[in-house]
Amino acid sequence: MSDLQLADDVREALDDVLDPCLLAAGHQMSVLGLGLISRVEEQAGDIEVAITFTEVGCQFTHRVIASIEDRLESLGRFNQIRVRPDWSVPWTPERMEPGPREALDEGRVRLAGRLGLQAAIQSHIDTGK
Amino acid sequence: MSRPFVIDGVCHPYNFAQENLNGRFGRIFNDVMHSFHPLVNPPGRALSREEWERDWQPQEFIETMLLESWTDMCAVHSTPIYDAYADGLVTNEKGAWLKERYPDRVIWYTCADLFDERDKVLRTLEENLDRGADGVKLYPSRYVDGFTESWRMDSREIAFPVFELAQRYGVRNVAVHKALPIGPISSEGMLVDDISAAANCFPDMNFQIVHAGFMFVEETSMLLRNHPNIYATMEASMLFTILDPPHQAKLFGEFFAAGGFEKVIYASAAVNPHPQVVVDALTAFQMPEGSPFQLSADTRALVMGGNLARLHGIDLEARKNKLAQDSFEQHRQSNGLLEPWTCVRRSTPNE
Repeated sequence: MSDLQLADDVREALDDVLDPCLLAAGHQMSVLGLGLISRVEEQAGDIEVAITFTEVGCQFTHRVIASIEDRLESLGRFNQIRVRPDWSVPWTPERMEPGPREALDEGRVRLAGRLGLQAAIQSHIDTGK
Repeated sequence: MSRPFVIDGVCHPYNFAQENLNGRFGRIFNDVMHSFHPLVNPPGRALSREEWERDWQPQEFIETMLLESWTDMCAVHSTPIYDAYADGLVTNEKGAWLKERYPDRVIWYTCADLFDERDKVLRTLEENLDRGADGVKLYPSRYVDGFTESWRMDSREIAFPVFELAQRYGVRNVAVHKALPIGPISSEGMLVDDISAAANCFPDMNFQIVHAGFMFVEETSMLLRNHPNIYATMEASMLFTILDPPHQAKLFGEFFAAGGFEKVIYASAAVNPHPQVVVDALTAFQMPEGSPFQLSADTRALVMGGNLARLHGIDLEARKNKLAQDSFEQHRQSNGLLEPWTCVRRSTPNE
C-alpha cells in the first residue's frame, strides 16, 4: 500500500477514476485503490502525478491518463496538470489499498465458488497474489 | 553463425519535437512513447528526454538503422496521426525522400488519412504511389474534441477505393494500425474483425495487422488461420521479447500455431527503441522448452525478414548481393557497427 499524502479533493478525484480492466471484470476499483498512483506533487498551483500500470504496455495507458487529467481539471484549482507514466515503479498486489483489496478478494472467492476453484483461489489470496 | 537478412517491418523517423505536439493529446502521446524509451534501451543507452524530443531527419534515421544495427532493410511507415501531432508524426515527405534516395534499402508505406474527403484521399494517395510507395499504412481511429471517430476496413465507401487504387498501381500491401488504442479512443476501431471481409474481397492483396498481440489475440489468430493474406506485424508488441519474454512466447505460440512461422513479421518500432536492441532481443529469444514452435535459424530468418521480403516480391539472395556493394554495407564490413545513437548525436538538434 502506498503512503501518498493527498489533499482531500485530489484524493476524491483520483478515487473517481476507475481501472477499465477491472471495470470490465465487474469490479469498480479506482486507480488510487488499485495502487497505480506512485507520486503526486503539488507545487505553486501545478500538479504532477506519476502512475504505473499493472502490466507494461497496458493498452489503456492513454485513456487512464486522460481520465485522470480530466478529473483533476474539474477541480478548477490547478494551472498545469501533468500525469505521466512511470514504469520504474512495478505494480504488485501489495500496492492496493486494504478496502479495495478485500473487495477484490471477495469477488474472486465468489467467482471461484461458481467455478469450483475455491481452494486454488484461496491459496492465491493467502500468499498475497 | 551467419546473420539473418533483417527487414525491419515498421520503423519511423518520428517527429517528437515539442512544437509538433497537438494539444494535450500530443503531450500525453509523447509522454507515453518516451516512458518506454528507458525501459527498452539498456541503461546508459537511452537518449535524454531533450535528445529524444527531436524531429528525426531522414538521413540520420537511415544511418541509425543501417550503420548502428544489423538491419538490412527498413519498412518505413508514414503516419497520419494528426490528432496528436501537427505533421501526423511521420510525414509522407520523409518516406518519399528515403525511398527515392535508398530504393533498395527502403520499403515505403505511404499513409492515407481516410477521415479526409474521399477525392482528396485518393488524389494524395495517387501522388504518393507515383512517388514510389510500396505499401499503404492506415489508421482507423482518431480522437477529436473528446470524441472518437472510426472507419472500418470492410467499408466499400471508405476503404475499398483505397485498396482498388493501390491495386491499379500494383501495390499489394496494406498495413493497418490495430489492437493498440492510441489516445483515449474507443476500442471499436482497434477490433480486427473488419479485416476479414477486406481480405476476402481483395485476395491478391496482403493485409498486415500492425501491433498484433496487444488486444484481440484470439481474433487475430483466427484471421491468420483463416486467411492466407493476413499477417501479424508485431510492432511494439515484439518489445515483449525485452519487457516480458514469457508473454512474448505466449504470443508467438498463438500466432505460430494459427498461421505458421510465415505469418509473423518482425518490427522494432525504432527509433524509439534503438534498432539493434530489438534485433539482439529477437536473435537471442528462445521459445520455452517443450514448445512445438522452436525458432530455428530458418524460421527466425522468416520472421526477421523473409516473410516481408516474400510479400514484396524481393529475392533475398539477389538483394543481399546488390546491397553488399553499397556504402552502408561497406562501412559495416570495414568498421563494424557504430555505437548506438552516434548518427543522431553528431547531427545538430532538430537539424
